[in-house]
Parts: sequence; C-alpha cells; structure tokens
Amino acid sequence: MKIEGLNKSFGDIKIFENFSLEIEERSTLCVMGPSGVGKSTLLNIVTGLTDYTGKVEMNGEVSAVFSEPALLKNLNVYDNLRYAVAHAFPDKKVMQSEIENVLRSVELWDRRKAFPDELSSGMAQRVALARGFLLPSDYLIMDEAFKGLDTALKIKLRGYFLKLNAEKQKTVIIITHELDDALFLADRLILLRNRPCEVVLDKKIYSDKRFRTHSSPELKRLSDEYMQMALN
Amino acid sequence: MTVSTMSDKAKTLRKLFTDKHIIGNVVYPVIGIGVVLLFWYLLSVIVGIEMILPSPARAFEEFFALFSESDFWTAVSGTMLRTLTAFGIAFALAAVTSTLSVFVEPVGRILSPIITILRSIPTMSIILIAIIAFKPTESPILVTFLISYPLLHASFSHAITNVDPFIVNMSKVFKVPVYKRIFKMYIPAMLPEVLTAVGSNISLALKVMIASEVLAQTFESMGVAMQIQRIYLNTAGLMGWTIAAIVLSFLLEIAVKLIALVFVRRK
Repeated sequence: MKIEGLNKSFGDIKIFENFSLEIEERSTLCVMGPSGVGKSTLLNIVTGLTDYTGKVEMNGEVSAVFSEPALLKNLNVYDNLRYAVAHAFPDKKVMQSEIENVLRSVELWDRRKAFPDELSSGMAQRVALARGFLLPSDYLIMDEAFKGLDTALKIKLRGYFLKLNAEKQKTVIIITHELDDALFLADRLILLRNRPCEVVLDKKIYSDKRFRTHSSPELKRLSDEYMQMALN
Repeated sequence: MTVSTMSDKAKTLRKLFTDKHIIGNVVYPVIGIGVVLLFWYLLSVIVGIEMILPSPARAFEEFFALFSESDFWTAVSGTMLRTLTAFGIAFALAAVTSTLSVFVEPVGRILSPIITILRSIPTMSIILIAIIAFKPTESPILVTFLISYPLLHASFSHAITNVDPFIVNMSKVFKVPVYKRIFKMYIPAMLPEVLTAVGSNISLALKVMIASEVLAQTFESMGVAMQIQRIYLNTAGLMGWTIAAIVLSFLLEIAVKLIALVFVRRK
C-alpha cells in the first residue's frame, strides 16, 4: 500500500499535509500516537469512509475490525458473517466452508446460532475479528480492536489474530493506544505526532511473533525508545 | 394425620398477586383504571346532573347499547377507514421524505422549515381551512394527514440517524450491497423506534379524525354521531361514543404491539 501526498483538513485544522507512507505487502503495521493526531482519519481514508486529496494506492479489497463489534442485533453470529461477505463469494458452498473455518479458528462454531445480545463482549469482538479475516480482502484495518477488553481477553484475541493472519496473510494496519499490541502483533511500529501529522518514530520488529516476550532485548529497546518519544 | 394443601384456586390467586409479570402488566393497570372510574363516579355524584356528567355505569350502558345499532358499525368503519387512509399516506410519505432528508442534505434543509411549520400550525386552523376547501369526507383525511405526517417524518429521521454508526461504517467498508443494507440493517434497526412512533401517533390520528368529522359534518362518522348526542343533550350517549373511541384507540395500539412482537426480536 502506498500513500503519497495525502492532504486532509477539518475546517481550518490540517490533519495531513503532503503525508506519505509505504506499507510492505503482507506485513503488519502498528500506528500509534496521541488522541486527535489523525490515526482514525488515516484509517477512514484507507477504508474510503472519508474524502481526501492525494494518492492512496492499493491492490485489493479492504476489510476492517472496529473498536465496537458492529454486529447486527437481529441476526445470529452465522448470519452476521453472511451479511458482510455473501456478495464476495459467488460459490455459496465455499462461503459456508470459509465461515465454518473462521468460526472454528476463533472457537465460536458452537455459538453460530447465538444472537449478539447472548454473547459476551469478548465473544462479540471475536466474531468481528473472524469477519475481518473472512472477507477475501488483501488488507485488514483494525481500529482499536481490543479496546476496553481485559488483559487476559486481549492476550487471547491477539492469539486468534496471529492464528488467522498466519493463514490468510493479509496486509494489516493496526491502530492502537496499547504498546503491547504493537510489540506482539506488528512487524513495524510508527508513532505519529504533531499537526499536521508526521511520523516521528518508525521501527521494524524482526523477532518471530510466536516467541516474543516482554523480556526480549529487541522489545525492551523498542519499548524504551517508544516511551521516550511518546513522553517528550 | 392429614396435611392440608392449598387448593388449585388458592394457588392461582396467590400466583396472580405475587408473579411480578402479572402484577406489572395486569394488576397495576387495572388498579389505574379503577382509580379513574372511582374518581369519575365520585365527581358524577358531586355534580348530580346526568346531563352534565353521567355516572360511569350510565356511560357504559350507552356504550354497550351501541353494539346493537347498525349506525354504530357504519360510523366506526367509516372513521377507521378514513383514519387508516390518512395515516397510511402520512406513513408512506414520511418514509420517503425522512430517507431523502437524511441522505440528501439539500432535501433535508429544504424540508426542515416545512416540517416545523406543519408541526406548529394549530389543529383547529387546519380543520377550519380544510372544511372550506374540501368535501366533508375529504377534509378530515387531509387534516389527519397534515397532523400525522410531520410527527412521523421526525420520528423516522431520528430512527435512521440512530442506526449504529459502527454498523453503517462496517457495511460501507465491506461493500455490502445497498439493498441488503436497507432490508437487513436499516429496516430492522429502525423498526422498534418506528413502531413506537406509529403506536403513539395512530391514536392521535384517530382523535384528530373525530374532531375534524365534527366540524366537517362528515356523514356516517363517529364525529357526527358524537355531535348528534351533544345536540340532544344526551351526555351519557356522548360518553358511550367516547368510550368507543378509547377502545378503538386501545385496539389500534395493541395491533401495533402485535406487529412489533412478530417482527422485532426480543431478548
């Protein structure tokens, strides 16, 4: 994905001015920064939810996981997934098989007939995550997808994310306030600051995601560097 | 030694007065109606003149006597048909204009002052203007439409904008086809609020219809039937027709609630 010469303002407030960013295919980029810097605006631009001037080059479809599960209350889990992706699967049998695969990956196949009000918040977000990976898209946008969940649940959801992405190999952009999301899920971390927005920190993370721990030297170094930049 | 057990009737009675659901949905409303009837009865005793305020018993006597009169059924069906016609047109137009208002900004801005004006015009002004320009069977329909439409438009617009923005955005990002967004997302999400608006506004529509019929002198209508009772100073008869209007209003609201039970998923 290539973003070139991006400009976006809200009234007199310039969020992006000649902003550029390149994201490697099949990598996971984590975007961090203070509230209001433009992270969500960047996502809205990439997902086509807001207008802009400049160039955003993408070769494929986009799916998303939001901070709220965004499940239709009148449809059960299975039908919620079907609602979002049926148009993208010409072969219904393939769609049914893919839905089953992805629900089994997040351990919710047994709850496929449950309605959103019968699910816990963690389960609902798992369904949203499953939906994000279900659509045959090349890009996945995650906008604070683990926000408001307890630590144990976050760790579990990160596990599901890694499992699904190992299979689906999407180019992922994660917006988060949690440094741990970057440390354990990302191949690259950028920190946005200032107005108009600019990248003040851009680091690659090389260690294998399956074996990362807080005590690994690379993550400790990155964490210190991030905290220094973020608090300055 | 024998152990005494509660009889089935006693058990049923106990359940009636301890089951929270029954208490909330039946016992309390019955108590409320009882309070109204008691208050009415005491007032009628204090007034003491049936022509001014008949007792509840006399009013209900007149109400039940209406059932055997063919004019009653003709009047009720005429009023109901006109009410449902006016309300149906208002509903259909409100569905269209509210959708356009929300999704096409210039339309919303043009309609906004029109809706405000329609909502603000005194009902009596509309009735008096309409009866000059239209036939007695037409003017009540127009009046009821003009009262119902702005209220429904406002409710529908609110229902549309109240649909979860995360779900709206998700549907856009996932490129869900428009027809699916309408029938699987918007309509089901709006239905509870729309049905609530319909339930409350249809009763209002009936009241406005009856008032318009009185002034327009609409043939074979509940409004004119009430007017006739008033002319003959038969206040008990007038109250009988009033009870009929209340029962009809209640039945309309129940019909809407039944529709909600079928189409709106409950937890």
